[in-house]
Amino acid sequence: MSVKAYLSKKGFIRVFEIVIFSFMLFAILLPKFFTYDDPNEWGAVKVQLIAKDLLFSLESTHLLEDALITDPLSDGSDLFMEREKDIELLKNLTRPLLSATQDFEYEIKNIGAPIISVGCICSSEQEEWLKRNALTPSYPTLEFAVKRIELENLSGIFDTFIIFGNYDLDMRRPAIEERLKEGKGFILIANFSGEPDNLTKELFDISISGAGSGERDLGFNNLSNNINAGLAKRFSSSLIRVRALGPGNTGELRIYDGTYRIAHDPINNCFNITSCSDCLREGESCSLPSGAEIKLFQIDPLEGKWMDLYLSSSGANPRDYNFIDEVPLNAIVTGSTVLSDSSKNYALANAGLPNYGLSYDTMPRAFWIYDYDRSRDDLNLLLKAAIIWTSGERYFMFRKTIPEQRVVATHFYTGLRGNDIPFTIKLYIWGY
Amino acid sequence: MQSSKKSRGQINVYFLISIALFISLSIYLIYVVLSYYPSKSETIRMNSLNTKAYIISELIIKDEGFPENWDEDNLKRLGLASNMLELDKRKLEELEKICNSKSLEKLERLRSATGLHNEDLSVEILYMNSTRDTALDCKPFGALAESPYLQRRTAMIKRVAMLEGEFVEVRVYVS
Repeated sequence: MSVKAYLSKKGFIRVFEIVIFSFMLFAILLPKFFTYDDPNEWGAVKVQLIAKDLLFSLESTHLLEDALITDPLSDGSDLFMEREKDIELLKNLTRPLLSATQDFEYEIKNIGAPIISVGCICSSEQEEWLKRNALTPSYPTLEFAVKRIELENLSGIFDTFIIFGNYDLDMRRPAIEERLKEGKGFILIANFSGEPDNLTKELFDISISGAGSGERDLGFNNLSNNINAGLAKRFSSSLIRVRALGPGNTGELRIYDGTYRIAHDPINNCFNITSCSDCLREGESCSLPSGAEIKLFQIDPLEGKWMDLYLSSSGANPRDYNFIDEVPLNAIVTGSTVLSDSSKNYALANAGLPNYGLSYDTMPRAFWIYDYDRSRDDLNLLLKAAIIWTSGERYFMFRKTIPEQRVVATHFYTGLRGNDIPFTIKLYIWGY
Repeated sequence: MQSSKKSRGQINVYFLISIALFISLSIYLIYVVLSYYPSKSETIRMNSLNTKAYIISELIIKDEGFPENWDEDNLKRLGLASNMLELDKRKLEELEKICNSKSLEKLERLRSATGLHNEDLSVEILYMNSTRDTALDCKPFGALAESPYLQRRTAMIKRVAMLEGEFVEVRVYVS
């Protein structure tokens, strides 16, 4: 059969037409079957580049320190007004880099917030003591907003909760766990006469064995542990206020095994401290016989009735500070122990990150310390460092609402003003 | 009957409809292909320009250049940094001399020092203060971004760096 005769067969032509028509239809509709993603992400990449450059450049200038730390003023002016001016610097630096329809926010992690709100499960005397002796400004934290609350009513507005004394926390487990899941911190100041409840043991990693008490030298336990080292760094970079309320602006500084008499010299605006050869001015340091080093940060600019001090060890490692106190000897050292006696057998303070399945940024922080002698300034400073740490140290600079669609640049910094406490800043940018 | 119509040269109406459908679908197919191709081609071109602008911006703010103390006569690789994200004022001045130069040789050397072949380059450095003063305005191959046509075919990367302790915005245009 010839080709012509073969093609002339009706059936073959119909099939041929159908095949061609189907093929064309398929080719035409092909782009409709698939969604072609445009891989061109340059818009987001360009924003990310600017944000990363800005965060990196901030590290090499002192501008970041100026924006994050509001230094005390000598005229007693409002620190929060001053802080507004400081953060205006960041605003002025970031705004010109973005288009009019873009907006931004800075998130800070591992630096104490300007205001830390503390829910205190305590008596009114304990609340007053906290406000007066422990929770004075420690820049960058300008204010500790302390409020007395009931354990049954843990409000989410607080950053951290301090519990004075023994409670059955297991009985309040749902309420406490709700706050832990929000990343809120918990501090317990208590001695144990027996086994505590399960939640106390879980949160603060308490392990009881035997009973007893005695005066002991205390020190930071295992400074190679990240949490312990972090708390020791916060201890030596936080300020404790020592008051001089006696006649002629005199008072006492109680650290380690010594009580040092302090007296304000109004003519030279300095403090005479027993064992320090010179009258100490702002910015000057003095090594005490106990092995402690004190550095005077600020003197009350209005009346000379207090001074803010840094405390550290005068040894090779400034964080290797020693305390002394009459302590209970029944909690044994665990992996979470921050403060132990010199034999390293007994735990006097534990710290940990209870696992509530959250990210590092929102992980809750818990701290227990024995019911220490609250006239000791160095132990008060340790409590203050723990309160700052358990607050979560996370805040947003401008408190804006950040949408889901945004670009985030993160930068890691090695420390603020040489405190060696690593922190991160996230710069969020959104809009078009 | 049909066979007798065919023999008289008459065309079936179904055949006419099929031909019309065939031609219109063919035209549509060609239209789709032709309209799809240029947009993708343009995207690829802009990706390439953006990539080059990004590479040059990295060199400018992070690299010292080669030789390390290059000047307008011996530049081999462009780089304005003295340290990471810190610009060197002297190198800015050297680059400005090249940009203002009428010497074709120097301009070609600059193009080669940035790894460009047929593309044109502009660099602007502005202080991030309220007055937005210009620290460098380098347009060796003419103003790139002034005509709307060129604006569409110009990639721009913006970076942030420091110049003598002040924040500056670095803009790199490649077209």
